[in-house]
Amino acid sequence: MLFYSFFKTQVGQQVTIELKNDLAIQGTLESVDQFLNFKLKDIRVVDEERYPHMLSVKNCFIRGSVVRYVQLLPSTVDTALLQDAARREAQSTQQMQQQARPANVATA
Amino acid sequence: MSGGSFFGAGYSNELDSKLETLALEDNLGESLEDAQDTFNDETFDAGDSQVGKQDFDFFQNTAMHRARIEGPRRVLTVAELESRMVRHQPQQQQQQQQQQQQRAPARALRASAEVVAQRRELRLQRQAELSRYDNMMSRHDKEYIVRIQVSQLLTDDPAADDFYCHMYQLSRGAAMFSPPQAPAAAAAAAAPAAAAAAVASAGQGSGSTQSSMARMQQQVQRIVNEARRRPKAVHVAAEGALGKISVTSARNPKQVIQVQQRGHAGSVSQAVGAQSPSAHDLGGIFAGMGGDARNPSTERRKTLRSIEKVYGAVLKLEQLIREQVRLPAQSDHPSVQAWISAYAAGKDAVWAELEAGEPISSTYPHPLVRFLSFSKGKRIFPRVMHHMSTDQVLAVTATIIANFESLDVCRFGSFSYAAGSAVVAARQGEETDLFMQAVMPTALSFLSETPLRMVNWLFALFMERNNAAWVARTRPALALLTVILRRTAVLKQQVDSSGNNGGGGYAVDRQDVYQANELYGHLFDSIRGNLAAMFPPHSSSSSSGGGGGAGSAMEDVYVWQFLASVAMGASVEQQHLLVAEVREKVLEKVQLAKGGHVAADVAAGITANVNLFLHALGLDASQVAT
Repeated sequence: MLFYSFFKTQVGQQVTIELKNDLAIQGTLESVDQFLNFKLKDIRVVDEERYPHMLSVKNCFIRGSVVRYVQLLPSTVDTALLQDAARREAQSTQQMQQQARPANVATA
Repeated sequence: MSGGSFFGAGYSNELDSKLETLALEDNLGESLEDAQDTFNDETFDAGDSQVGKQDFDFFQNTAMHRARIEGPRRVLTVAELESRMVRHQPQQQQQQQQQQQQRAPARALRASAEVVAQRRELRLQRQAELSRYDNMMSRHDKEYIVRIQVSQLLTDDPAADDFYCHMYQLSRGAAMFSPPQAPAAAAAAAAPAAAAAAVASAGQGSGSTQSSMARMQQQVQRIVNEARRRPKAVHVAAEGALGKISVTSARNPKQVIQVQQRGHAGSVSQAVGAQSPSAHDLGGIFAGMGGDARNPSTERRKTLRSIEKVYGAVLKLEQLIREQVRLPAQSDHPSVQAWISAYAAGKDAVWAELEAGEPISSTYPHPLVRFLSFSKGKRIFPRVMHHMSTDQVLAVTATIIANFESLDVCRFGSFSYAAGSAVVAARQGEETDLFMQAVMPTALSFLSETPLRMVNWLFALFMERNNAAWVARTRPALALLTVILRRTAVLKQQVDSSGNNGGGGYAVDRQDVYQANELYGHLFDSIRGNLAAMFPPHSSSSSSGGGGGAGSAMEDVYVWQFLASVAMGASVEQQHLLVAEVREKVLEKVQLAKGGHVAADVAAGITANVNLFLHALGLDASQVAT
């Protein structure tokens, strides 16, 4: 849930999403969900000549699994807080795994 | 069937009303009773025999079923819809025509009756086609789906899962999304409540939405407790089945990489060779050290591991502090007791991990020094010190002072070390800055508030354990010495101004003053002759073009400050000695400032710096004859 939480803070910011098919879309992040699907508003394709079919598209929905990169503004990210959040996430995952292991043994 | 629920601005009002009704339901993705399962009623009410026929008109059947259920509100067929629209159209058309005639009589030619009628027909047809299959799902169906989606989002511990977002909003003043009343309430209903809150506050923020929000939060809380009582199994294995089915949800998504956990993650026995890891610390502080002399990378890992433990402990402490606001007021309440003991235990854990209690340790470098040789160790330092008692801060300061020489910023911080490569110089600069920013303030503020005796003790410790001349070439050491000297001077003044005892509440003894002077003399003797080496190397760009020189010209501020504080306590002969050594540097700087090769503000800066020193001696830059 760390990335979901992280992208929630990015809602309303300008981002550039690069997809696995090399299409890069710049726009305002409108919403994000638990699968990291993105909705972008007022988009502009970065390399316009190659994708003329996108000329008239204003908003789009991007499935999370096709995203390769999301480019953000560094000023919108609090790296110290992100480190803390990542550490907490790691700790809680460790705890969950430790709890889950005896349960697995029981059902085996 | 499980999909995402969107968190975002500008979602429709329907979500809010849906979630409101959600608050009144209790089933979540469990199987419903037959009587309650209305999902496929349109088909199944028709009866099996009818459905089996090839020409079963699903649409017709649905319409009839809905008419039956919802009764009086008639579903209009296309023909009825058309006729109704035709009735409304002439009125609209008349208005339009009037407006058009007022604007442009020419337009009336085009708006002839047949064309208008044709367009109307087309419009109606298109509308009819598009809405032919509307309203397939009933309201109940849609709520059912939303309930399932929301249940996927619910987590056991919303506060932890949404940590980043929540803290970020708090730290940025929660500009965009105003969080609901208390952090507790906000944390308790993270995703669905946050979504609805954003929607509500972005949309209206009216009174009714607030109350529905509150109700939904309560409902979500109940649901979470329910879920916690009956934990969803990660794997489901039926009796006699040959395999396990894994249940994916938000908390344990499908793993792309399967990681095998073997007992203890990252075992230390797989140490790679003994190369100096220059990417992570300055010059391989662990190379060839005591402790586990066999393997510097082992030592490195051990230190990194203990840094992570400290981080974990500090995070727990900070979480406890956040929870403190929610504790009841009376101090004998059991939860308060529990909190107090948890907090104390956390602090002890941090202190034990830090190993700063003993200024002198058997391993070289000192564990605390090793700790601070990583930038993340430096970063966590102020946060740790925030929770420590004064005694502990004293112990840490003493440890740092006693081992000052072995600190990475000192050992690898001098300019000759960095002269070779620009990369190393850059890293050095970073680490030193970080050290000055993160570690020094704690020690320095402690120093500025202690009595003379303590200052003397620490000063003596410094002189005893470190080679002053050698360590004086680095910025942190000079900063430390500056503060010590200044504090000593201030305290001595207290003695002078108010007779025997200091007026400020600290009894300043004659003996302490005497000792301070002794130490000063000792320091002076040590650094004498090396003063010129304290200055940053003269970069060639400073003499050409204003902009490039600004940075390097300002860099020696701390040196001038140190010299000023030395001059403050100097006797006449000592002052002479000082001036003799530093004379060339002073001349150089003054010439630079007056020469006109640098920008005006840079020149002013340089002059100010030099004046720091000269004023302490009672001189001024303008008196210098060039």
